[in-house]
Amino acid sequence: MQNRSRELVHYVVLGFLCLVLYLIQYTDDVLPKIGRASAVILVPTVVFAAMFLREWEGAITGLLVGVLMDIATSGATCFNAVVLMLIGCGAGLLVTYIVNNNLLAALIMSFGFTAVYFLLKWVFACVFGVIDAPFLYLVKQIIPSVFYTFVLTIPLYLIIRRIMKRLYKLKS
Amino acid sequence: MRFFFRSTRFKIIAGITAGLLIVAVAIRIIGGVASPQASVLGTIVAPFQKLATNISNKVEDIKTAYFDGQELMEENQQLKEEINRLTSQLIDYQKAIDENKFYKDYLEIKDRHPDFQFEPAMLISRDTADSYGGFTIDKGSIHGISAYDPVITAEGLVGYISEVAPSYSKVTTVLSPDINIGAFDRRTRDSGIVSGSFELAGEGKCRLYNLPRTCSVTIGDYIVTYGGSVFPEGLLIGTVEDVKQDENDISVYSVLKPAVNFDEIRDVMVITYFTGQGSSTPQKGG
Repeated sequence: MQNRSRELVHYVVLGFLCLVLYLIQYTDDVLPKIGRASAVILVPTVVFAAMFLREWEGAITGLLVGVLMDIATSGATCFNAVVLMLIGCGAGLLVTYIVNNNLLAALIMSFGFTAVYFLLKWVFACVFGVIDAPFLYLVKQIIPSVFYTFVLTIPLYLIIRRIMKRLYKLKS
Repeated sequence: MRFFFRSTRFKIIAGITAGLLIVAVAIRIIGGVASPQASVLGTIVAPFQKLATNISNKVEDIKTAYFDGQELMEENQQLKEEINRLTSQLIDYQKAIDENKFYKDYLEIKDRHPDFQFEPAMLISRDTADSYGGFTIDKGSIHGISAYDPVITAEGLVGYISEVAPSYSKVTTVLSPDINIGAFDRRTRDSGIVSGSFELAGEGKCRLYNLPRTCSVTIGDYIVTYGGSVFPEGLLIGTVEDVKQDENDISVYSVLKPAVNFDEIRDVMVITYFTGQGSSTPQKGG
C-alpha cells in the first residue's frame, strides 16, 4: 500500500515537472527565439524520462506530453502525440536493451531523437503544404532549432536525473 | 526486445498510434476543430497557461517599470523609496490606462460597425516554433467562438480562428500562407489577395499579391479587407512598404507591414458575428 502511494507520488512529481516545462515552453517571452530557431525542451524531457522509466511508461509520458504540445501547436493535430509517444517508447527500449543510462548516452539520444522530431516536423510541413519554402524552413529554422534545443538538454538532464534518483530512493 | 514487440503493451501502443492517426485524418477532413484528447487536456491546463502568462506579463511590466525607475534613482537617491512606491503605483496606473485605451479603441470600431459582436480574449500561449506567429487564446466554443471568426486588436486585423476547442482557440495570423484575404488599397481601390510567406514572416511582414500591372499602389498606402463571408469590410491589415514584380507572372505584389505588432499581442477581440458572415473558409478569398 505504502509502495503504491510512493509510486503515485513518483508519477505526480513527473507530471508536475512536465506541466512546468510545458508552461516554460509555451508561455510568451520565457524561452526566447534566436533568429528563427526555437527550443523544444519537451522532446529531450520525454527522452530523459523514458530513460529512467523504460519503454511502456516512456510511451505514456510521451503521449501525454505530445497531447499537451498539440494544444499549443498550430496545424499539427495529433502529430506531437504520435511522434512523442514513439520517441518515448524508442528511448525506453534503447536503454532497456542496448545502451547504458549515463550522461553521454543521454546527450546522444537526446540529440538524435530531437533531430528525428524536427525532421519529421519538416516532412509533415512539406507534405501538408504548411510551409511555402521547404528548403529555407529547413536551413533557417529546423536545423538551428535542433542545436538550440540540444544546448538546453544538459541542465535538463541533470534536473531530471536528480528528481528521478530522489524518487527512486523514496520508492525503495 | 523481441518480447516487447510480442507483448500486449506493444499492441496497445500500436492501437493508440492507429487511433490517433484516424483522429488526425478525420479532423483534417472536418477542419477547424481541436482533437478530443487535446480539448479535454486543454480544458485542464488552460487555467495554468493563463496563470503562467499573467506571471510572465507581470514580470515584463515590473522589468520595464524597474528600468524606468532606475534613471530616477540615479537622479535623486534620497527619493528612492518614494520612487519605488510611485513605480509600483505607476504599474497599476499604466495598466488601467492601457485597459481603458484598449476598450475605448474597440468602442470606436464598434461605433463604426454596429453589427459587430465582440468577444474579448487573452493570449495564453505562443508556439515559438510556429514560423507565422500563431498563438492560443483563452476563449473557445463555450464563449461563442467558432472556426474562422476574425481576430483583431485596436490596431487592425490579426488573423482568424483556425481551431476551436471548448475552452481555448488557436489563431492563425495574416503572416501565414494558409490565409488568403481579399483586400484593397484604400486610396486607389486596387484589389488583390493578402497572404503570408515563410521569408516575409521572419521580418513580420506579409504580401498583397495578384495586383494588376497597371495598379497605382504606392508605399505608405493603407490596405483594408474587401469584405466577404469570413472577414468584414474595412478592417485595416497594414501599410504598403514596397511594390515588386511577381516572378511567376505579369502581375505585381506589394510587401505589407501589418498594422499589428504580433510580438506584443496580449489581448485581442474575436468578432463572433458581423452582417454577411458565412461559414466558408478563408482560403476561398476572405
